[in-house]
Amino acid sequence: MAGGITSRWLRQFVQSSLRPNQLCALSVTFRAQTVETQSLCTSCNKHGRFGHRLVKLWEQPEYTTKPLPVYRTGGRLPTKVQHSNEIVPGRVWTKKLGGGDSREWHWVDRSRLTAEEVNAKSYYQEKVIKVQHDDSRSGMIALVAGPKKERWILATETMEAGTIITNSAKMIPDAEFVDGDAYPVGMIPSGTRICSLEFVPGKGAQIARSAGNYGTILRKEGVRVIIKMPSGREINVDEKCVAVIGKVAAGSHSTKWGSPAQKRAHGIRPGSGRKKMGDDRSTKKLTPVAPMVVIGDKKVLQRSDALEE
Amino acid sequence: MNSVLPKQHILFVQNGIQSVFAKSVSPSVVIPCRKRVYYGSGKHKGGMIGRYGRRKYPPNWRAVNFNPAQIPKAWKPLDWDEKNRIDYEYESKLAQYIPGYKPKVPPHRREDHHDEPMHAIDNETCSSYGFPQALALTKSVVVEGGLPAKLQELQKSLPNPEDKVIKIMQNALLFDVDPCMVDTKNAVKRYKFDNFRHPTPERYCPRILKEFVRLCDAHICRVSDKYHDRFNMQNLPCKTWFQRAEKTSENVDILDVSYDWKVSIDVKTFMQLLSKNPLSLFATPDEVEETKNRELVSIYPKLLIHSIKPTHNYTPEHTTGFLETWHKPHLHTMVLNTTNDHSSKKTMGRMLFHLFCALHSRAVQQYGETPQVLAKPLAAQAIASDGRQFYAMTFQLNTTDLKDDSGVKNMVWTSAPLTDDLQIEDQYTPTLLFDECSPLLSYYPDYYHGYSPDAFATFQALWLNDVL
Repeated sequence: MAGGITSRWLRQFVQSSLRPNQLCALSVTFRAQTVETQSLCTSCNKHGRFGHRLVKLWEQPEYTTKPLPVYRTGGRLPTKVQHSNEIVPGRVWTKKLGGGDSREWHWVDRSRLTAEEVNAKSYYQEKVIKVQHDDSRSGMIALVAGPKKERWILATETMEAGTIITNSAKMIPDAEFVDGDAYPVGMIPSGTRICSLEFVPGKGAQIARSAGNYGTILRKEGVRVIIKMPSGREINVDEKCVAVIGKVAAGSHSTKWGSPAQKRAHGIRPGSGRKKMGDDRSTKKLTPVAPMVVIGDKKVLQRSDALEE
Repeated sequence: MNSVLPKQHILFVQNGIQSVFAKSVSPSVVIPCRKRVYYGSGKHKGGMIGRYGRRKYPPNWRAVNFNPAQIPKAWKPLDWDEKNRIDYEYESKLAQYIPGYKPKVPPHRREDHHDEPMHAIDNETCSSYGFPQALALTKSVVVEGGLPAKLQELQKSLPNPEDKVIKIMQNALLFDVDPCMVDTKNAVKRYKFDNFRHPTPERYCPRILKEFVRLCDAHICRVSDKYHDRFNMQNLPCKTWFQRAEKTSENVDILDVSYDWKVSIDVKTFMQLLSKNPLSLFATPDEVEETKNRELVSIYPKLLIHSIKPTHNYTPEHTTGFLETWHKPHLHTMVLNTTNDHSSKKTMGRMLFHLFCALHSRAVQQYGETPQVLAKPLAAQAIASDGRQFYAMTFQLNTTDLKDDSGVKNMVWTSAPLTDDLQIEDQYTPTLLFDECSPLLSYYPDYYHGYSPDAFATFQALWLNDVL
């Protein structure tokens, strides 16, 4: 595309032709994000790109543990056919996408405890049935049987088949904060390592969800809790946000690609090689850690002001 | 899409001649094609010439479904919500003008609506709960030692015609007609790597079961006159419902949960053998009272209604599949076809639900709807098979009082050797009729191996119980 095209242009282009709720579950930036729809989002689109994988979630009336087939876009945009209500893949928008092994998508429940359960101070336990890898994320997932239904959740390191994990918003004497348990952040003692943390209570986990990542609870100030994220930045959240104790299970995940064949199996086609030329444009710049972010009263995006200070 | 383009479709044209591969291309795709030079001189040799460059996509890409990568449509169509929405006002108007039309009504206004939900078990979901959950729901206990002693003696004493059983196996699996040989219109689905179509379990399983039944009935006719006291029916529906409660465990507080449920079972069996006289009991009254001291299986942290879907639209009723005036009402054995069940733990749960449903409906007819301990318990047998794997189970219904976990319990006997820990999956071993049997086993003399006579022996013992 020519210069001057930004994510704002694409957002307007898409919104003019399609309604936000008509898009797939995996396109996050162009959907009306509510508490209900947030639980359907699985991956993120960065820098205004479009063209990740799709799952037909509108055909499922309710939550299922069955794996769903994944459809590829090849970096194509959704286009509306003239004089009809069909949406078909059109021309390429992102490069370096195509091919890859066929995948199955597991519907992972982002919220271990809903906002209603936290307010009602509920307590229940679940049993782990199996732990396995997932094609759509680096961390491992676990099939868990609760009192009413089964569901998929993010697995921690010490989870195995047969273990029992607790989800409680109720203060119990002699409570053991063990790996895999989910509590509101206000109940967890400071210094513990947590993962799959919520920013807003009831919205679902948003941080520390990839393999091996974790955050630490630094201190508490009344109703607010200050947590250190895996990037090193600090965050101030409400005490009712739910988090899971422990690190996310990595399994056989590694940060390096072993060979270009593994990249092609993942669905990444070869690039131009521009980033490896050694210019000043393509180097990684070291920046100081930004100050703490407060969620609730102010906006999260405080880029330019924070860096100048 | 087709309304935009003209009716005269344009095909590929190369060098003024229609291309050989025009039939494979859909006529709705319009791509301007240029001449290709095979014999030439200079820079055009072996390349393309013409006005347009090498186009990767057509100019009318908005109107045409140009998809050379064959990416399927996985975006939500804009008509989806409108098509799946039910317009109740429109249907109420249709009912005014169309005689006999039953309009669709919202679920909270239907005649079947009840405020209290009912957790419904169907024929399809019967096998998704497992054996321990079925035991806990039906308030039953597993008796150790395998099948009852009477049936184990019959397994050894009755004659076992191996030649006939092997012929049945071969007729169902090897000599079955291949529909592909008879198919001339290519209507039968063919798989990629199969030279011919193997008979599937859906085809050979009912054949094997019916031939086993025929063998056993032929033995009865030779030995006794009680063949006419029994009747074999297929696809009988059966319905019951009951109330079940559970005690809460410590510190457990779950949102919107009540620990007193209504459960209904609605199933259809493959084959039911009905008889004039009831089946003799497998347990003595002393053994029935000893079950008061035994504890039920615990499936903590699951509740008893784990993954059973509740509905507010239901009609509570008890049906046995036939009228009260039927002269052979007592259930003797029941045969199930479990080709779609992929684990043995779930087939045994299915067998238990089928048995409990049939006997509970008969107990309600006989003693009434009030939950009570039965003065004369009811007994029945069940066989489930995949065509290759065989499971046997016997059940005795002692109570219909399922509100508490205390008191007299129902009893179950299985052919698989089960221990106290019922969560272990390796102990649910079936009896195999054969290990492998297919036309591809050319290195075996009769194209099968691993035959065991135990499968037919158990089938025969259960079928001929109380007859000889």
